[in-house]
Amino acid sequence: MNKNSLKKTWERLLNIDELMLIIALGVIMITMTILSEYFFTTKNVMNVLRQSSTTLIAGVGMTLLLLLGEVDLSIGSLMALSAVIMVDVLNATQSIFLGILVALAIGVVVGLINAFIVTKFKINSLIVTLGMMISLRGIAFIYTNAIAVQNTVKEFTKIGTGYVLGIPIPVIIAAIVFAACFFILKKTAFGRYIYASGDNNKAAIASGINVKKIKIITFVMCSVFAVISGIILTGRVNSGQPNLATGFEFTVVAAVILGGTSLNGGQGTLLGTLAGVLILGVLDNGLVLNDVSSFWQDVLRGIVIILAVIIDTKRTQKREKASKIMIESNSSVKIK
Amino acid sequence: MKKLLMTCLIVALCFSLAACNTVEKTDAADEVVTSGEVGEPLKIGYIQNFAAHEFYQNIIKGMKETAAKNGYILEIADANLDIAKQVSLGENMLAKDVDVLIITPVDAKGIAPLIEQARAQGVPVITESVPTDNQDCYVGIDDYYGGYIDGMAAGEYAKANGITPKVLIVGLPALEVCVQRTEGFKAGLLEVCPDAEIVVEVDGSGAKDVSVSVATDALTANADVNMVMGINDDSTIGGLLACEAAGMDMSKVIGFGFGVEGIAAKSLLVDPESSYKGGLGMFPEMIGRLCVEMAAAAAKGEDVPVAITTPLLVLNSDNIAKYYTQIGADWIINWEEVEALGYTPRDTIEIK
Repeated sequence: MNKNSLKKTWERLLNIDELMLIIALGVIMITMTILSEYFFTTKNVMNVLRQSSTTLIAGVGMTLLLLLGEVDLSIGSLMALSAVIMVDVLNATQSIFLGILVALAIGVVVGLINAFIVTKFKINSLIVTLGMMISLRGIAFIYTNAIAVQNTVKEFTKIGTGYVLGIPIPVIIAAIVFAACFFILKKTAFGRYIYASGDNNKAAIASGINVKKIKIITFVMCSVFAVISGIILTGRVNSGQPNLATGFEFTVVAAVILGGTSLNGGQGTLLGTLAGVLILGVLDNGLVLNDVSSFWQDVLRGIVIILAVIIDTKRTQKREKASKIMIESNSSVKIK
Repeated sequence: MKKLLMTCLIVALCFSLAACNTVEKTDAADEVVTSGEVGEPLKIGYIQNFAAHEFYQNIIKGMKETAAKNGYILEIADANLDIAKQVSLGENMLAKDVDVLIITPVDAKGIAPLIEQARAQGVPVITESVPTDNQDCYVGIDDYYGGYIDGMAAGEYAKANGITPKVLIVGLPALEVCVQRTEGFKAGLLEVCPDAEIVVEVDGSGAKDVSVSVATDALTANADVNMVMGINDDSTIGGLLACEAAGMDMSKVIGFGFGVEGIAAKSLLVDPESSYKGGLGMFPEMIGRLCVEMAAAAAKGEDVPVAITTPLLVLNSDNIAKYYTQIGADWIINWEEVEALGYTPRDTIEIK
């Protein structure tokens, strides 16, 4: 390999959006490996992946929405409501298929309601889904009378705790969801429309993109993915908990933003989200392994999120400045 | 579109008005219980801190039964962990001339002005779970002692089965009462089993999903754990689920919880295949009953103790049927048996 190609490879590497995050993830992993002999073991790596899978599945949906410039804060409450109803259906019918089907249907309905209010009444999705978050949690408590519903279908727990070929089932589900959405974003017109609509809504409408339809589909996808996360969590706790996933929406949003997705829409990647989810997952796991007090865990988690976003913002600003200079120099060449 | 919006608004308004009508009757109270007797029944206001928890649901159950039995009016409102809301709800109840207030304070310091206001108006105040500097009577459990007898029971179980306990504690260090529970447990366990080892302590936030998650992490580094202690039902069950998910031999893992406040823990205690072997019974229904009894006595001008400690007992598969009867999926308290456990009047809120 000559000097020029090495330089090009280095420049290409520097241009990878997620490079800083991957480096940060690497640094945290090396630190944790040094601090705890249990960290870098097959068992623990599988454990981190299993725990991160629920955040990743919901994070994929949230990334799609944030790319559109929208957000969904109701996912945690939706997970709780769909979980308690699902466990009731499971217990009544003893059918895992029916239980999951009902949970997914609830996800579709809630996604449609969110999308309908946001697109029809042109209300900020932050407000709409905040209201939905509060209402759904309330309904979950009313429905259960604040008492968890115990699952009686033993096989169902495998969704949260089982393995296939040594890989935890939640990890397999997360990989499928991630790969499908990665393909959609990169290779389909729908994916390009999401970026275009989030980057410049008016220009997207002017160019004939049905932004409303894109938003409706994305809201539904986000809700359905959240329900899938809820199904896995329910399998892990073997009961429908009305307080399930309290505050989960903020963990998911934090992971997605940590992954470099802009709150203003149009910018971000699923690879970034994966890195963001893993950073938070590895951090949570490593701090527990090292017996760090839970109060300090919160402090460190907050600091890492702020630092990562500062570094990423600086990098984005630098890149925007560079492209602006390039555009200016190009236009001055044309004028000449 | 506008028509649709207007229709929705009108429908929402109608619902709100209907709801307001109900609220007017009870003024922010969630429910009213009366015996239907003629005259001026005693009016008790209870301001809950977090009604969406099975422990508090059962306290309310005990209060309702006791109020109905004695012909008292009981108004219940929930602050949902918001101290400002709790103060407002208390002021509303005072404005409605309740005879006595029962409060589960969200915060001992933050509730002080409301208590002062109530007592200045001649309305006695009973506090539950969280003592303050200025109530007529405090009703609650002795968390340290509860943890202590739970720890002793866990130690005796381990000893009888030839186990040297290596304990995972799923705690909640942000709450002082929960810290007392775990400290008491450690003391009781080590007294019976000096060889026992507290291997790791994690913060499960009192929620099952968080408990499963942190316990799973902790078990990676501490695969030799053979005993789980949790500060409530969800924490203990969450810790045991994490052991199961980690592929541990559950016949060699034992769980001793604190609370047995809900259906899940009681059902596990009677399940012979479950690893949940014992739990400190807090009898929340009895706490509710004693709160109402103390409130009624204070409102009638009778002498009430400065504080009372409600009954505690370690429940297991052998004795739970004596104190609770399983009816379908539900568990109903056996009042006579629990009343027989008695309570301890004290002349100070400090527990030594």
